[in-house]
Amino acid sequence: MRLTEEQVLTLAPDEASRKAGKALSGDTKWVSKGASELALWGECQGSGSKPYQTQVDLTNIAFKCSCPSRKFPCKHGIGLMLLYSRQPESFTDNTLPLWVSDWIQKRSEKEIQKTEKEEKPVDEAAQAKRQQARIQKVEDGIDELLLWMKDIVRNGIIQLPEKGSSYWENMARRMVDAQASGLAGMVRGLGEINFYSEGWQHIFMDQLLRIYLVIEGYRNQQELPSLMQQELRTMIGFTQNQEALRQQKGINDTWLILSKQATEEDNLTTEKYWLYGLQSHRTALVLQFHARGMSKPQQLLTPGTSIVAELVFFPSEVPLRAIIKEPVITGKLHATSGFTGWQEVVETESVLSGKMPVRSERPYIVQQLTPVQHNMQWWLKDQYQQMMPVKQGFRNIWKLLSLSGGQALDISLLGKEKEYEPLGVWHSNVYKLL
Amino acid sequence: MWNNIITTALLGTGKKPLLPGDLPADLLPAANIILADKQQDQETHFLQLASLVFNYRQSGVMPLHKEGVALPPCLPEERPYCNTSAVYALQDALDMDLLPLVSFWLECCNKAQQVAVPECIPTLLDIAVAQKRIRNLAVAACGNRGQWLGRMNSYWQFPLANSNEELWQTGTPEERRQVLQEIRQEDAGVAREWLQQTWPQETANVKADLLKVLKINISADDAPWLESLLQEKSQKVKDEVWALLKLIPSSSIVRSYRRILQEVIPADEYSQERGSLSLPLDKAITDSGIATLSNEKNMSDEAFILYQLISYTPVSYWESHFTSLSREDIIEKFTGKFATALVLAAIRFRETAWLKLLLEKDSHFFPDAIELLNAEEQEAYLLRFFETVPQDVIQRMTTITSQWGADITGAILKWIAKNPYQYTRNFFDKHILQLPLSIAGDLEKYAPEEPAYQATWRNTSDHIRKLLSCKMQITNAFNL
Repeated sequence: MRLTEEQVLTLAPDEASRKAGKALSGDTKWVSKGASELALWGECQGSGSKPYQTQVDLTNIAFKCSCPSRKFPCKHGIGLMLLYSRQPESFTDNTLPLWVSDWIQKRSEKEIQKTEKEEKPVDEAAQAKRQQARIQKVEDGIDELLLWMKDIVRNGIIQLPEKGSSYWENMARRMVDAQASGLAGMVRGLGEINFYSEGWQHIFMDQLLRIYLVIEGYRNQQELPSLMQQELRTMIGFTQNQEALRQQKGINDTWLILSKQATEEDNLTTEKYWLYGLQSHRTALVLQFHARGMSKPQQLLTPGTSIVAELVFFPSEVPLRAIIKEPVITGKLHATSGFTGWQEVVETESVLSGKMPVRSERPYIVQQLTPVQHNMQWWLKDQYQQMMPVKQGFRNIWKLLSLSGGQALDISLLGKEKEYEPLGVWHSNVYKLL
Repeated sequence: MWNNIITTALLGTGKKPLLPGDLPADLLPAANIILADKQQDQETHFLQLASLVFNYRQSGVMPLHKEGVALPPCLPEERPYCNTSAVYALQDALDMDLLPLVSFWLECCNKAQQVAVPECIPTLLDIAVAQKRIRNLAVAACGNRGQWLGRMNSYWQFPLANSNEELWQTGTPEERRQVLQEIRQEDAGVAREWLQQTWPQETANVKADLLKVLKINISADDAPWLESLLQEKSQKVKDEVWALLKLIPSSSIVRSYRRILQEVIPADEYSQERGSLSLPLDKAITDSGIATLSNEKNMSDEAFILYQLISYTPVSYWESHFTSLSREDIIEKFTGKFATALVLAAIRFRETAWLKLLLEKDSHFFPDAIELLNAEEQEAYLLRFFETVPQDVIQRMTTITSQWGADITGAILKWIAKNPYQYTRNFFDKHILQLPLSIAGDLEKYAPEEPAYQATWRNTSDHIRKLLSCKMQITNAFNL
């Protein structure tokens, strides 16, 4: 599997690594290098006396390097992959050296060990007791939050722009104390609204009602289907045991990696990968968290490629978030069809909203969309003359327009209701990230 | 419907409770059930009704159906797109934030009759906004798609349509100067005519500035008009006019200089004597800029005047003056303090054959002589003086826009490696296009002997290699 330069660069943990990796993508930097179907390896002359040994697992993208960098992948890994994408013909050696074959061997052994690992016995009585105490704490917290929300709607939200950040942060902290971290995050979301932007009232009310729906749903969970109960519990802040999830049967498919969005807060990097199943036509969100310099992401997923993998979805009436059951095999991005127009998107959205009113944006692939301008705003028009606005503030509108040239393109999008953000386009049969 | 929710939310349920009439008819049965629960307070009723409307709203979104909204499609490109390697090379140049390499990429793209791929066009157009110098190159490389995008983005609407004549009439002073320079290079007479036409409207500063352009391809045809300009009021303008007239062998002033020299320097090839200058000099001579007081201790005032007059007299004149002397003999005759005056004259009157002969015999470095030599001669001349005036030579090399020869580049790099604080990476960023690709493998050879400077040179040479690699990628990508 050979990635394009653009795809390799999306693996870099930060801008500095991208630049440093590029600087190492020259042939002269590498004392030796080779490639096989399984792996890519090279020895890079650094500032030390011995060259650094860099290796990449090509079947299930993973990096290892003898350099002391805490970044993952390091600049040597990025540089080697870039060199391979530019000059594959210069990788003439295809016999794995011992240091590479050992690593590949260990990786596959680890995979087997992982699947064989048995869970420790659990003290169920103690666990139930702890669980009960937590539920009580959460319910107390919810009562307090509801009272606070009622105060807001009684007095009117017109006063809110004058409130200081402590007004929101205090309630968020209270929710943390109540062990309802999901609600804490949602309350923080209220405080993060720009109260000086036009239409803040709508954004605020949307978020406030989402919180209310989650609270009420949780309080009345006995009347709801099991999947919704579990999803509401997750929204409140009860964690889902991912190991238990991993044991469940998932969906095997070829998953297109449509986009990666990374955010960093307090040294914690959150990576969101948006996936689309080629046969199942299911969409998925894979989240990965890693602390900068302390840990590395579980999987290195490359936007613009596909993976053959089994995905297990978190319990939900409208499943979206998923985890990847290893191993995965990385491949090229395949052509796909997606929806034929906006009508199909909104019908799907209506069904989803009917099942679960509180939900996040989802990815879609829509065929033959043309960017057009109408009423001083950019829209995406389908082949049936139906239009949806492009998300306000979408940064890459000119790149999209340039790729389109006024012609229709198959576009992957992320959004809900009336706002969609283009993620990538199929241009001349190649998927290009925006 | 949703606005009613917002209005109540803004004012608060205490002031404006939400009423069933504020909701759509579809929701009334559900709303009535909510409102019938009298155990709940007003705020709960509001939150429940608002939640109902919230989901009603998000479940019923419809796309806008609108016929006839379209963008006129972009014209197909007449030239092929550049290949993937070229795209990668451009990205490298952009990542390094190096305008010379981006500019080189654009030149190569246009030379190869190709256009940039669509995804690069917005970036290139943004660069064209900020960098006027490469605007035309960027716009050409962006092809039809660039123009199509420009019609929708006012920042990218460049005044390309302006002809040289329009620019001359309405452009900024710098644009006008550049246009005049371009025209002067193509057709010296037309440039002079353009300047004559607008002359009365120009300010003194602009006149002085534009006159400098006439130095390009100056000839006897310019003399009559220039001489008429000696009546101008501005001293600044007059100084420029004199400077130009002194470059025309047939101008009155150069002929006057020649007449004085004719009287003072006997035509007899054996005579070592020379006549005396009739002082004071004519006013026209001093007005033209000939100084009458020597600024050198070892040169008398009279010798100094002669020195200046010789430097403003074509060297070829001496061939007619000393009819029986060979060129070598003429040079011999001026050995000593007047030798450099002959070199200056050969440079001023662009007498290449004389210049080459004089440079061979003169031990001084004349930076202005470089432009009259061909590439090979330039390099040999600069190498000759590199040991004595390295920084002057480097300074002069930076003005040569073509690629430097391997020998002189080697000498420069060796010197820079030994003097790491004089020239930093920035120097190589600016002059990467002049560096030949062949030096990439030789950089280690230039490492200084001083251990303290070796690490710096290692870093610098890494940087040079990176730049050269990008330059090579561009060259290879366009197969040039």
